Amino acid sequence: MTTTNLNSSKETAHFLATYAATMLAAGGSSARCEKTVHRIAEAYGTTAEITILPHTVMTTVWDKDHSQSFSVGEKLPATGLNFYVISRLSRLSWDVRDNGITLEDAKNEFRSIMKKPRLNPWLVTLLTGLANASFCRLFEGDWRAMLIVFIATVNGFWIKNALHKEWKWDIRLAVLFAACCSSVIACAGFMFHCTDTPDIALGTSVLYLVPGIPYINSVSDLIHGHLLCCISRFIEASVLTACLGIGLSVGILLMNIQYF
Amino acid sequence: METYRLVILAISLAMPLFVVALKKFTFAFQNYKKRTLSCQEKLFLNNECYDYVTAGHMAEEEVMIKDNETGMVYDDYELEQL
Repeated sequence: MTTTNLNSSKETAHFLATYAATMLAAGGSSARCEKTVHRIAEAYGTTAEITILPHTVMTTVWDKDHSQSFSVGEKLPATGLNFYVISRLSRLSWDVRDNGITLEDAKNEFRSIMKKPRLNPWLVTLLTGLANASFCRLFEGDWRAMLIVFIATVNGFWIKNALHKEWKWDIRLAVLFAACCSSVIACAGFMFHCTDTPDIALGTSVLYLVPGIPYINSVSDLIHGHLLCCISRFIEASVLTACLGIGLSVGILLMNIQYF
Repeated sequence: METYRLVILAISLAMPLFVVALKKFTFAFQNYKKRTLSCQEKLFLNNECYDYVTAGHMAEEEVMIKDNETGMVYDDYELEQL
């Protein structure tokens, strides 16, 4: 095997490890990550095997004649969920296969994807509030209940992000605290009797904290046989849901709502 | 309607403002602390903060101290005289 081929395999292994770790951290399912990594590896004339662990991904790249391999372990970066990154990385894998772009170009494209700024946090907060208010409407809450849910969601979402991203609080504590604040605000419907559906306002005010993507990914992992990932994601999501429940209960207890 | 419920509701509504204010205060405090500490790491002499500077003498280096206000640089002997 020539030195050029060795270096090429090594570079491919490094790129694929970073690629896989980024896709998983952005919220991609294990099956999707595996497929795209295999697609890129085949396009570069190599074979790749990936081992996905809860916080790490191990990528092994074999050369054409399966005589030499490189293994690279990459920690999942704390980038947060990002559907834009997932779809662009998936698109990149197709570009590599169909358009035959070189490894260097693929790296440049990867860097440009990662440099793309995220949506304005104020816009995201506003849209989350509107989405949660729409949930309230779906459960037949009235307009005033929707307004309460909107305020509770914007408030709680902002607090959660500030505590987790700026104050570096543990995500579970941040969720618990945000759920508590949101539920206290949603209890305004019970206090002031300003809505006919205060129970729906209270119930839907914390829905934005439900970790939906980890739950969906854990089911996807279960179907595709990634049992370790499935269990890990499910437990993580369950812990967050438990924190949400505790926060909601604390809010209800603080406001002394005799509903149940 | 109990007052405490109103108070809790008001606190929850004002929580984002409280978080921002606390963040700003912490940032300012950390900056102040960092400034003081960096001064202590240099040298405090007669309530003044001095920089350590080094001046090369052949292969050796001699630690010297610079007065930030006057720009004067003192060596060990001169420092003892101050």
